[in-house]
Amino acid sequence: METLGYLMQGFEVALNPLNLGLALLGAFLGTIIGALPGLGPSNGVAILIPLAFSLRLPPATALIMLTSVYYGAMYGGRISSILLNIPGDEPALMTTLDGYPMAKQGKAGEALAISAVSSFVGGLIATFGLLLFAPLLAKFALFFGPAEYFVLFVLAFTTIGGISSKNQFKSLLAASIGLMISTIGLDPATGEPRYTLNQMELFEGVNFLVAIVGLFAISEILFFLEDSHAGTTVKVTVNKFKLKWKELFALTWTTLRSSVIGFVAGVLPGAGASLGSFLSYTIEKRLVDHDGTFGTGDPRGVAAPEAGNNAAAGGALVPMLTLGVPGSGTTAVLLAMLMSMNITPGPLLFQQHPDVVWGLIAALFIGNFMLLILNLPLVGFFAKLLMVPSHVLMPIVAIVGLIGIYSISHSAFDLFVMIAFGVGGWLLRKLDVPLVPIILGILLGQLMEDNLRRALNISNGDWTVLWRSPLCIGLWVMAITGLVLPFFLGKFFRVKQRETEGDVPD
Amino acid sequence: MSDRIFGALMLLLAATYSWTARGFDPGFMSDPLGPSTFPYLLGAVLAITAIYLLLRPDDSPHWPPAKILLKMVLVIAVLLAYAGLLEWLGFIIATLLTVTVLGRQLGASIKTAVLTGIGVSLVVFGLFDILLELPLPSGLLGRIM
Repeated sequence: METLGYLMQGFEVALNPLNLGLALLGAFLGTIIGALPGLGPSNGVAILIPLAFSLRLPPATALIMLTSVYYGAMYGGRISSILLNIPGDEPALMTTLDGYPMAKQGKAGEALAISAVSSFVGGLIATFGLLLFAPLLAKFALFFGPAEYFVLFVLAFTTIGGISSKNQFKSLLAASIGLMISTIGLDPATGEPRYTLNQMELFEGVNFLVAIVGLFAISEILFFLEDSHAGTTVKVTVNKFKLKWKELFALTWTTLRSSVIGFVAGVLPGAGASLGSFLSYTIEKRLVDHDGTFGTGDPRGVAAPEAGNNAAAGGALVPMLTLGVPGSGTTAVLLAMLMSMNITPGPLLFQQHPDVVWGLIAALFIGNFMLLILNLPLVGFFAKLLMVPSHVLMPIVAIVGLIGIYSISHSAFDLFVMIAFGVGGWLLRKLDVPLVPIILGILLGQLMEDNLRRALNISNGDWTVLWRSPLCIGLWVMAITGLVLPFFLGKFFRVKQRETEGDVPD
Repeated sequence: MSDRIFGALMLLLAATYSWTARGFDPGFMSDPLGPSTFPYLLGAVLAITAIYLLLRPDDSPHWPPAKILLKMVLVIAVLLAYAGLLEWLGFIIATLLTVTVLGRQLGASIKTAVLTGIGVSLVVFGLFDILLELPLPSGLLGRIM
């Protein structure tokens, strides 16, 4: 089996001491980022990309480190969901349902341990899934021509809002703003400057890292200013816990079922981790909640969404790596990371950069183990991070964000643009306009236009080329379904999600 | 109401954006679409979504009161000043000042804010400039020393 051979090569890449060390560091940093209040996985990875770029790490190494951060942040986010009933990001919402009641009963330690173990299993199963399905999908994607790619990008934009999207028009609006930003600069085909306002700095276009860090980090600071309650530091304690093997084994089936559900949800376009945790919790509740204990601190109610969302996070990497189309905010940020290293994901990635792909997959295996090893003994320490006050944290976020961007180009102009993006991001978030489609637009805009123009070049200007092949028609059907479905399903999902407390950004 | 204003602004943006695209030179030997078609498409999508917002706006969000808005303007001004003065002042001084002001605005006491400022500027400098070897501007301090 050739996959196995590649995987062994991948492990060789991932197990080299530098990469292994950075994976550990990444998992550690990631958990801190996830545990700190107000910094979700997308923000955390976004702030660190410029650094990985400036340090000129080899692509495989940078990718390994940042995916460890991503995994770590996912886990770290659980700490505030369980201890404070504040989900760090949307997928963590379902974990609060049973995690917080457990913490109130003095079983915070158990809840965190269960979350660590089920996340581990979910992540592991998803990595196996990635290993099996990604190469298949990559082979299939080799049949894609420019027309198919163009429609695929359309599909990405119509589904990025997700199944629970509140207002599809706002998500499309955000996508078109992002795409418009991507057209700034010299047109690659003709060399004609577009929307540059005759500024030399804009001839190369807007650097997507500048946009991402501005949109995520700076807007976050403005949000904190808006509701900064001075002196409201929280006290958190984690009990010493004894987790019995028997209790863990009782969760085996819940965890396995939820992992598979989560993985499938993650692979689907536009679904992502939120749907993964939501579906696995709901299905598990239907299946095993005979005594009505879900929602009152049932360990299975923690294991299910945790396995589900970690598996979904792994699943979301399948379309991201093979098609270059991310399905969620964080995978969009991971795509940005790849593109900052001049690597364009897609079917050719598996041929051109096998070391990156397989190194990454091996790193996911390793990252999973590291997180488990790191989290079981250190959870008390990570929980203490919840007490870091925002007036210490937010200035650090600002400085690291600014310096990260400065170290790329040493240009004050980029910093001004970044701050402008931050202000714009705050305004858009206030208006409930999602930011992820903007990022995706900036990232994919050039590719999308390029594919459209190539398709029309081949067909000599005949637009029907965009819906001539069966593959194109299939993609259009999916794109339109993804656009229309939230109008019908959205209400249902939102009611379900609103059963939990709190308003979740991102 | 907020959505209506936003929708109107976006409609204006769509119009300006598409109008600007009219003037792009397709060059000779160009592809059938040229540099203007994709922008036209984007302008159309933005216009449609903006018109939807004009017709069917969501409820207005809760905008912060003037006092907090002022705070935000101040913070943005400080960040812009940081961006503009970073090279001249040098990383350590600029960061110390910025973090102190940000900390104050986020509700820290003067003492905590200053201590955070000193701590952050020194630690980040040590981490980036010395440990990671990403040179940060030395500015004023560099000229004095």
